[in-house]
Amino acid sequence: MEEKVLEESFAQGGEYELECAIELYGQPLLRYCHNIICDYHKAQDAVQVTFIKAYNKRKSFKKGHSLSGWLYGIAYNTCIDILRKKRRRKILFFIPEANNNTEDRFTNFISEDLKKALLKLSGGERALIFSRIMDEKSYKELELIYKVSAATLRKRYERAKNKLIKALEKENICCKRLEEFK
Amino acid sequence: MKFDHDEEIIKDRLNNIQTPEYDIVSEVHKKLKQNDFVSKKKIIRIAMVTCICLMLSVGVLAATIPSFNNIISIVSPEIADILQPIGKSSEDNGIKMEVVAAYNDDEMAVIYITMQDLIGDRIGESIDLYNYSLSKGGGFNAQVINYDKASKTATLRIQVNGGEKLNGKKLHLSVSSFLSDYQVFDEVETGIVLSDIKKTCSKTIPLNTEHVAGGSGNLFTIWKEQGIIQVLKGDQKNIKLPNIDFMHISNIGYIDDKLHIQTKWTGKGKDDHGYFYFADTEDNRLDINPSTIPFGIDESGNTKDRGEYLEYVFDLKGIDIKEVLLKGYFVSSGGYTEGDWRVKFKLQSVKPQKEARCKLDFGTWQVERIYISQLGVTLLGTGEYDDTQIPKVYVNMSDGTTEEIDFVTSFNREEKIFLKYIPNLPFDNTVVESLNINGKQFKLD
Repeated sequence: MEEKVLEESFAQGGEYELECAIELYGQPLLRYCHNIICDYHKAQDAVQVTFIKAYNKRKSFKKGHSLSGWLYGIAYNTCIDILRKKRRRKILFFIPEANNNTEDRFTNFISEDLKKALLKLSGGERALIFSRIMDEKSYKELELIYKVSAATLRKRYERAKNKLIKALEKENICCKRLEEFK
Repeated sequence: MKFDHDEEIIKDRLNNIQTPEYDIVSEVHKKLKQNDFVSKKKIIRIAMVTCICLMLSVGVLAATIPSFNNIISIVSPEIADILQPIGKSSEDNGIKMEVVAAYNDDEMAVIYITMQDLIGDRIGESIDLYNYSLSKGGGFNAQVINYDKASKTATLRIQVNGGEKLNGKKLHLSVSSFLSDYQVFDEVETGIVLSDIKKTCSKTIPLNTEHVAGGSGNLFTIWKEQGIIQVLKGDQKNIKLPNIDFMHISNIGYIDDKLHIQTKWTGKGKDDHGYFYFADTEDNRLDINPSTIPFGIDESGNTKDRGEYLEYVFDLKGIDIKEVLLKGYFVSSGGYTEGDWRVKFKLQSVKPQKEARCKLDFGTWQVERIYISQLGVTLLGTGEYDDTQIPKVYVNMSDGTTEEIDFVTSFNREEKIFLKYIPNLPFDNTVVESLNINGKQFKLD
């Protein structure tokens, strides 16, 4: 089903429309969540919860609006909730970061040094970086997802970008800049 | 889109993140049917990671422990053969704690315990161990896996890292307090009209941030550096939130263009907590995270380091406050119970019975040995593990059947690579005849 058709029918639709939405947006949302949470298995959970929430709240989706933006908004909030809970558990159980991450016990999908650098950023900053650079979303689209003005997003994005570059340099996985000065 | 140099670098690095595809449709359908957000399959799988068989006559031992069979029925009948029955208990303050069973391998241990209230109703399905420890290992976490109303018994699973250090050792499990009767209040309507709050004239009091602990957010770091910050004068308002009697808003106003919401936590819950958030008219949560600072106020109205106040500070720049609602999420732990429950027990791990030496070359890394136990197959190797080329493993049984194991975990220890292939359920490794790894057959001794 095409995006435009799905946007018209999603609110009144059922499981077929949900399946179509998953076909269209499932994998991009999984990548988005993975980049925010930095844990593949938790990202899988986040994507599933996102679609379940979207299905349960489908009547509140307005015809003609961007379904993609709406789903990304739900996914973003779901990821932030997961990160909050994770942080609380860490504090409550004194679980060291390495042991609080299912990724460590499973296959590593993000190299350790890259993960270290990414974790210097907040979940929100990681989301913004990914949306801009990997998904190439415009600030207009991002306004819909994050419900914040473009001007504010621009500032946040610049801050997050500089923070990540510094973190990458610190982890020695960003040599291009150093090469420039040679 | 045109990228600058820094963006090119970031794009290049983020492209290294692998996000394998999986069947989201069927997973979502399953959950919609179950109306259950907990992936049971995943829990069982995670539990499986932690086991290696203990070759005891479990049937005989288990028969002497009434709660053992209960654990088997709660988790899965197939794990009966791999659980080590323990059956040791400790009683204090009218509550009995029993260590029922455990299993362990060289990475992790899982201990099943029950907590039963013999005289009251202090244990419910939301029991949460608050202060507990194990004499060895680290990275504990505990979850309730079952609650039986009739016997007022909660069954909990404690996961511990450091399985190798636990092998054959006497362990002391000690629990000295737990929380219970959690109540969650989500999407709480505060009823506060943000546009009614004056942007000026908030009365403030100075707070020395040098010794306060437990704050959060971007501003907290700045406050700590500043040493002295202004918070709202205490108890100027008393705004109660619907159904919430453990906290209230004791003041609200702007300081330096930032919205301060002062809360006073008066409940007895040890773990009462929560947060405020903003939602748009369509009830979508906005990405506006507060910074928080906890403090107290003495009888003279001056601040002190510790106490029952928590101030949430929001930067609302760029937000149209007429278009947003202030909501909240709060949790109260109604019960806090202390006691002294201690159990000593020995945890064992048996070496796998079958192994084979082999030479397998995967380019950047080589496999030297293969182990097999009831919990699966372990490949042991050296080099740089390349997770883009995971070897395919099939187990050939003596009855002619073959089982593919597609769930793999990998980790490094002492410069060795461990790849664990874990079947959905333990198998009888005594009837395993050979292994097929990437098409090559290996006989096992």
